[in-house]
Amino acid sequence: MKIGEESFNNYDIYTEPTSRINPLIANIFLLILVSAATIESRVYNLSVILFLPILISFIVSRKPIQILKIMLIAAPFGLGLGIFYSIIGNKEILTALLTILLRIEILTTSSTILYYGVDPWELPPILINKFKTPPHISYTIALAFIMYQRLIKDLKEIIDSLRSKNIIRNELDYIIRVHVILYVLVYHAIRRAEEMEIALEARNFNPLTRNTRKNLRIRFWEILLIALTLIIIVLLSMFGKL
Amino acid sequence: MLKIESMKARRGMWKSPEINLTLREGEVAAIIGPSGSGKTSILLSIIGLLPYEGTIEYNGVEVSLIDKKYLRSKIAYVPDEPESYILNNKVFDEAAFGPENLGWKPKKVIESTIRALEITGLLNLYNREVSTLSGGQKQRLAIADALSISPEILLLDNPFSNIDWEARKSISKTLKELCDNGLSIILTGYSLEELYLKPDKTIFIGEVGKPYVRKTSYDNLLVSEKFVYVKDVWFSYDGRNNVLKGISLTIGRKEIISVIGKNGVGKTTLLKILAGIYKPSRGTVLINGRKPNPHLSLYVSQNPSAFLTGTTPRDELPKSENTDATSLLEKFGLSYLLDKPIHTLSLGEKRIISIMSGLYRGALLLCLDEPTAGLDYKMGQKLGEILRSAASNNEAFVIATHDISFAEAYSDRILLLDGGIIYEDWRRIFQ
Repeated sequence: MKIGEESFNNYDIYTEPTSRINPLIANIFLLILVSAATIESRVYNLSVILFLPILISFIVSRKPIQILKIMLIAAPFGLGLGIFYSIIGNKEILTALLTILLRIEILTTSSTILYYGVDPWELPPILINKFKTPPHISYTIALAFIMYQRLIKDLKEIIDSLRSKNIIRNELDYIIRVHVILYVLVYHAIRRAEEMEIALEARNFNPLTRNTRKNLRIRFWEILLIALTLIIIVLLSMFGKL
Repeated sequence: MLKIESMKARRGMWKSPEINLTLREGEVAAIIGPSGSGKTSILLSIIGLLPYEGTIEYNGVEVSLIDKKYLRSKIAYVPDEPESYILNNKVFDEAAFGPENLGWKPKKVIESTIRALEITGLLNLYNREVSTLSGGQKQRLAIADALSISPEILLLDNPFSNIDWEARKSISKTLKELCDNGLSIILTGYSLEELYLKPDKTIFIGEVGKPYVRKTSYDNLLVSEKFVYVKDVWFSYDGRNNVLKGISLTIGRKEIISVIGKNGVGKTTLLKILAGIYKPSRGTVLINGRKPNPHLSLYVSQNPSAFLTGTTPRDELPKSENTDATSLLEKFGLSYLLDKPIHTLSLGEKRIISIMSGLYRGALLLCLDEPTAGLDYKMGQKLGEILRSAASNNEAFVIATHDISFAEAYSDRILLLDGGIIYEDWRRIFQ
């Protein structure tokens, strides 16, 4: 490919968004699901709601086994919190366990849609142009997503090391030794933040001057997805079982 | 073009050694020094990211007086760990990041990015996920990042530290071509030998030691007993593409084996299987007749921060009747680090602490991932001697490394991992 021979129209391949789902749609979807998971407390309804993020994360990530693994990893946290909720809230144990477990799984699977489906750098232009969000805030959100993606990768490396050091021996140790995991992860986060600061400063990052070349648009199936989600949640709240 | 006089970079109370340098168009200058000597700080001062004493002039103007945006569009910086620098998921997006930050029009962004990717030989990978690139390709991408803003000076921090020999050769060739076209380069490293290109000017900022030399034959120490037994091991992350394809090997007691191979070939995977972190898709791994577990084998990550769980080296290093943290660190001349918070240590210091921590946990097989990355010759030699001494006490080591000179000096055997298969004749890489 020789530079100067093409017209600008031939550069279309370089203006295609990287995100598999429009970042705005993904965030609205997350917002609806988090709200539904928080407000809804009936086990049957939460189970139906959970089906939505699982389906979308399977489609967006194209890694169903990976998503199931993440759900399995989140399960002990859900069960642990469920026991806590049962004791503190004086609730029936099975209901408390299932309610919290389903809520945690809804949050986890919804997050995987953002993790696998959205390019964080494609979110701020939408927030700035569509919602008139100040550029500094919009890009802070994007950087938070990037940090989140990095820390997830770091977490895998940390867990491998802790397993090798015999600090994590079984699944229960993920709960018992959560303070060790968090301690190492927090220091990783500090180091990553310092590295990111250098990477941004050295390359003149400035939310006010940054210009994107991406052609970001909302597709029909994405609007349909939001509509469908809203309809299901409204129907469940009206006719859902206990 | 760039004139540095009596300059010392500052980080709080700490100051780097003083340097003087005049860099003209198309010249290459090398700053050589040991781990933690201040090489990175000097580079960061040049682009105005750290304060300094003395003078740094770019085209006759003190850099502290130049608009930072202008300065960083003329002087580009590539850090020693490209992974930490990469902020985008796709190759093209990453290389276009600098021009987009400068607010260039989309057409100009695309053209300059295509040019940078062409120069670094990555244009055919423009749509690839960054995570699927090899270490050498990531290093190239970091250079493309810097070139996309058409700088006049390129600052490269330890550019060859963690990449395989093939990538080193091709990247140094690209850098030579860039210099021939008028780009000036300042690069840092632990030794002149590892740079792969001849600098016009060299500044030494500390004692780096001499290249590794094999002092003795270790054959007399070997015990023939098959301590580690690996038979027909296969491994795949996704169930489709096999990273390891029927690996078989045996390791004796007191033996140190180095596994070399290109970035992304599966060295880390093999080490994690030997440490019992990953289970092979099929095949057998036995250590001392038993399946791997943390009491038998231990993996020390190439990312030392992931391995360290203590707040200070004293807290991290195992305590026993026979060993104490102070004497362990004295061997490296690092006992002054004992009570320093671990997160404030340099990469080389953290690496030594993580290896020491692994070494004295009682495992019979230690799997070390890139143990010399971030270490200068002096530290590397001490590490090699400690590993040899530990091996003579019945331990065995498997080391994954790009550092062939370290492997030749301190290993009993070197194995080549290529295409998922182990080769005893590692010199075939040069054929």
